[in-house]
Amino acid sequence: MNKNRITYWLMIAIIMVTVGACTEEEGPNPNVSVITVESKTQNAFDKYLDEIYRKPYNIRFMYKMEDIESDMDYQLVPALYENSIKMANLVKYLCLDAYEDVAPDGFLEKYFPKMIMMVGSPAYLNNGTMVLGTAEGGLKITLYNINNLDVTNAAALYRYYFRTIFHEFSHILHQTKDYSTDFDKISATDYVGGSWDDAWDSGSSLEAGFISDYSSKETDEDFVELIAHYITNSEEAWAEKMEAAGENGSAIIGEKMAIVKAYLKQVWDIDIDKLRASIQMRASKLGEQDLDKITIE
Amino acid sequence: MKNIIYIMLFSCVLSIFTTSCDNETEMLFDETASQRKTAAVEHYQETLKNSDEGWLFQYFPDKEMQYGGYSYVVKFDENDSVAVWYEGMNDLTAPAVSFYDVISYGGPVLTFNTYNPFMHYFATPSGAEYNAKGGDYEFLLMSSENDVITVQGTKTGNKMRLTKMTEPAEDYIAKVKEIAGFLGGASFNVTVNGEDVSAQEMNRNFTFEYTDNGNDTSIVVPYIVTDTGISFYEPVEIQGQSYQDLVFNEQELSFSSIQGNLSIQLVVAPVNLTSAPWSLDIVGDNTCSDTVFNTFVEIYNANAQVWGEQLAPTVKMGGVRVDLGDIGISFYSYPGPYRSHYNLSFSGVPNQPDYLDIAKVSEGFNWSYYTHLGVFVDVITDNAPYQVEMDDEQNPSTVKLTSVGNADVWFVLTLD
Repeated sequence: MNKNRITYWLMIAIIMVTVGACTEEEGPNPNVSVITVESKTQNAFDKYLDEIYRKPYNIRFMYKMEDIESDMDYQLVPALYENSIKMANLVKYLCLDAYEDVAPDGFLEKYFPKMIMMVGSPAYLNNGTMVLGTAEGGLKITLYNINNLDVTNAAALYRYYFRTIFHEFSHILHQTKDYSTDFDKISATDYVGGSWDDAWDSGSSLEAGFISDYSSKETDEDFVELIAHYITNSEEAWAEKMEAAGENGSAIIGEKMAIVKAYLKQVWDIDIDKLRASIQMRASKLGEQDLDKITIE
Repeated sequence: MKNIIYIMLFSCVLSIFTTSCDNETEMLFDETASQRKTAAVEHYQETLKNSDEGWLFQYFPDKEMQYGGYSYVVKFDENDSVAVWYEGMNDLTAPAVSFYDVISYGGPVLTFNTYNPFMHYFATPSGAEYNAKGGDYEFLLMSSENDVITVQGTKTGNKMRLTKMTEPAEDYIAKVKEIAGFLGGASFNVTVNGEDVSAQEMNRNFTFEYTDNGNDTSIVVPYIVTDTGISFYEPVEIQGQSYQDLVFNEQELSFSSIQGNLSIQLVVAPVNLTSAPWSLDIVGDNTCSDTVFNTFVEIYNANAQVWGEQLAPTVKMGGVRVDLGDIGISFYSYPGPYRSHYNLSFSGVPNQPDYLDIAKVSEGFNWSYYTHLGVFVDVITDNAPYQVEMDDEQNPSTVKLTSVGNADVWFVLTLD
């Protein structure tokens, strides 16, 4: 055994000792969390939301706004408490319950956005126009202009809130399972992209086969706009729209709607006509609803 | 040689391992970050609730503070709700109630998280003001001591104060509204150490212009109305002396600084012409002097020559279009009619309770097309101030203005 070998062995021994010495005697206590969560007291409305949104659907209905958590591109204010209560009841009645009437079990729990946020003011852009609603990654739907809520005006309810909800929810569906590419081909050359808001004169988008100006932005928007408009218009109102669209426009929309209907039926087992009937029936009985309730009967 | 290398290598390895074994990290704080965060939030929750009369909130919206400051009283209760009084409210017994919370966001933050028409007044956007009036409703809680909580608006960065109230909110806000009432519509005569300083007031901002060591200086000072007078947003130095709080004297209609020698004398116009339109009927009976009439004929002819139009013989003055902020003088030209406007100020004269000063402010609506009417405006403003005679001191509907310097210039205005 030469001297070098001894040195090697000695070194290895020392390294092992020192490495071993580095294990800690006291690890962190797994029973104590380093995160302290403040427990908040729930008011009656919070408890009600728990019952109608969180427990059945795992949806968080956010009526207290934290501006620093909201879209910093806009100057926004929170929603009026009283209007948030109305809106909570409205969304449940006119949207969730309508899907519940026609969709398979477990559909809403799995796919409906997990957060619905109320914002009091509209989201104004610097050109004076306003954003009606936004959705973030299929997770959160933000509804604006809650402070101007008028529950007696069904058309305004559709326009400002429900078309937005149906629109955004439909995005989640096609992002989960895409629709047929045949849809893309129907108006393939007519989409106008970002210039959708100044590309059309009044009514001309309809004649070109788009249910709204925004439909003409791109195929995905076209697809979800058709769903949102179809179910928020009565059969008669839809027929009037098709009349106004003229021969060309109504033929194009009809072709697209055939794909929309087949898609919802085959992929999601939802009959869009039944869904529309449910929403229309519910809207007609809106006046009988107690929208201020915060207790379960 | 080889041995030396081994020994060096060996000692090197040894030193690395021995030093790396120091587990004795010293904790800078006794509690975890999360515990401290919660403690800070709880501290402010308790402090805010711990005031029977609530807190006076001296609120300054807008980054540039172009609206000055407004007084709020906020009263926090156990159930996360807050009652808000505000000097813009009419019924002082009806505070607006909504929710609030203290959350942790890079420090404890006070947020008014459901809509309150008073608290969110300066933050509510509209089609015309998409950025609203730049008001905050979320405030970083900076410190609390001696019954004063210092906060900072999360949007504006403006530092503001909450002071523990010792009297009912209604009483305090009523006093503020009363003093604010004296300020509305007045003009100001400002002296510092007995010397005149030019002062203009708009939207709770004073603009002082003076000479300091031979330099022309102009400063804009946002202020808030208090229960005893006014208070500048921060101390202002004028000619070496610092000023912030001024006390109102109702008898003398003046504000005087607590420190130093700054005095603001209110000059109230004998008649308020700016809240409604008034008419000067040029061809009426005894409604204007020959000088005024002849000047009108001059511009009537000039207008016919320039545009081939007929100038209406009724001139509007005062608050011509209050909705548009058009205060001054407007002419109507037919056919059309096309309105052209020049902005004027109508203010009092120090120590002359019957005098009204009329001065040019700026060219207004359509004026660039009708500059040939300027001669008439010149006659009105060049001959100011005017002695005012009213048909009714309390609710005048007819007012005769006679130039103090030139008896040949006079005219009668009738309330529309």
